[in-house]
Amino acid sequence: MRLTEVQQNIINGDKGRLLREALINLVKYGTAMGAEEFIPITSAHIAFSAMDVVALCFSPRGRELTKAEIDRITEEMRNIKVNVRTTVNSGIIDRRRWQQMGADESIYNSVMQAVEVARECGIMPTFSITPHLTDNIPLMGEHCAWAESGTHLYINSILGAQSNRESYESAFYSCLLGITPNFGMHLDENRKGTDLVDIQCELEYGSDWGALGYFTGDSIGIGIPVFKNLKRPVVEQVNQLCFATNSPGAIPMLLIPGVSPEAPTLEAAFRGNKPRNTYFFDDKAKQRIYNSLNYNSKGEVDLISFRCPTLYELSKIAKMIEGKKVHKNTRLCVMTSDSIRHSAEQIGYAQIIEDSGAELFADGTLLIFYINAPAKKPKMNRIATNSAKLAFAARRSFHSNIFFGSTERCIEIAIKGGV
Amino acid sequence: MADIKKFKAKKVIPGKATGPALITRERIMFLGFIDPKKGIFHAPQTELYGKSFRGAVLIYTSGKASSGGARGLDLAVRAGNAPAAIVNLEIDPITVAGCAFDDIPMVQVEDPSIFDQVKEGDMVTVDADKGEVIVG
Repeated sequence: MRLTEVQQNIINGDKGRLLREALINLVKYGTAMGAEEFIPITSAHIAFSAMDVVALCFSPRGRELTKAEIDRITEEMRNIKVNVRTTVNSGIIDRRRWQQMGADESIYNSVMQAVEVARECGIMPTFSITPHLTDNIPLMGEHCAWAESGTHLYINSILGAQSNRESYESAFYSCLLGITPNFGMHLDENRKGTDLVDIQCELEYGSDWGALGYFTGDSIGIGIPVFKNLKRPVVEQVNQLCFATNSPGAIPMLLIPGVSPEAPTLEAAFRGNKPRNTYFFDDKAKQRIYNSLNYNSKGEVDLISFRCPTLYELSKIAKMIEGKKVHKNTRLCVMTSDSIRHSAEQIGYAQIIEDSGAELFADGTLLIFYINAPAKKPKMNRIATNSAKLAFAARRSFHSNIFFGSTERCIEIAIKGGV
Repeated sequence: MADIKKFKAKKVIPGKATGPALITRERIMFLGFIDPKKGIFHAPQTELYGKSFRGAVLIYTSGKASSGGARGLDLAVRAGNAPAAIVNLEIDPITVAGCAFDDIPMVQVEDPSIFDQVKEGDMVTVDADKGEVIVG
């Protein structure tokens, strides 16, 4: 890769050890991906949940870090000034309700230390998996480095911003340096359709959009799908679509003609490309996806979880559950971002939801809260969810039995205590 | 020596390594779906469920899913359970990042017949700089 004088000086160590390592690693990554140079970014979305996790981005590598090494990296981080609008993905606890979710005080303290370091160096510790809705909204053509497999897909596809499918590490290095290797989604010639997905059935519930996403990622794997005969979506449906697509897939961008800014029409979406394949999403395909995401779904349900509802979805959940009670043998955990929970509290949706016995968590998702077990895992022998992404991952990460279906069905299950 | 097979490969991350093949046509993710401390795949309903990847040459279609894939791989490396090398047919930047940061040799092979010609446990050498995968 061609480096500027400033970049060469960083490699020589002029700006300290952490930035040196960050740039060396980005050069290795960029070289492997065929980039010839770096370009500036103005927006990043990273992980910054606790300093022992942040420290994993730096040397020594190949072995576990000692406490002294983590402390040293933490102190070095405090001297760095980030000049890119940077938000933080799901945390490992709810900062306000960590006891309720089973975390102990040492985890809480380590998260609050990360909050303090982030604030000092110019990173916004939002702990949100939907930054594209509230705190970090890039504009069309804005070059970004975003991790989180659903959100980077959203900003490429719906906002017309430009980000590769970044790992937590590469997005983090990019926010520290303000640059990213110039390849893939940063080059206009790569932002065109490769495969056609033809919709031949009704999409009635939010979970149907998740099923479509799962179908798309599973069918194509890596590529840029273009949707045909897709009814005009709203933001909540596109969220479900994007989050589900990159459960089975590794898709950098999808194009919805008439919605995606770079695809006013089907022809414009392909820009002369001939689709490699056409996939038909019909009733049979939809049922196949529901069947594959549900696993031993009938029986008592230990936990029902909604993943990252918007404020509008919270208003609907409040309406559906108002005056009802969650069954005593189960838990309904609604997990959203802190800014959305705050609004829900101001308006009163939160009170209605909690009066039913449901719990309203913020700062993360069930998966990230419990994948690395920073907190005592709740009973999860059977989970019900409206999220295709959670259904897919909870089966494989927690070995849970799964009910996957609409929000309406999940609320019925919460009241009844089972399927 | 009659059984030696060679596949043309494109260098992604430099290096040379040898190990027993662990092979699947599935796409793989390394966060949540593996146990980094034990060095095994632990996601039910996946082909490699229960198998150890430590020291193996992993041959599979591509990475997928979480941005934490590189982190999961790094946790395995830090626990002493690094795979020897990774061979993919399609390139997902998150796998590339993981291999780049932990110096795991990685190549891209375009010939899908590798799935028919290599079986689990075959000794495989990945030579990224020469651009070849040698089996046998």
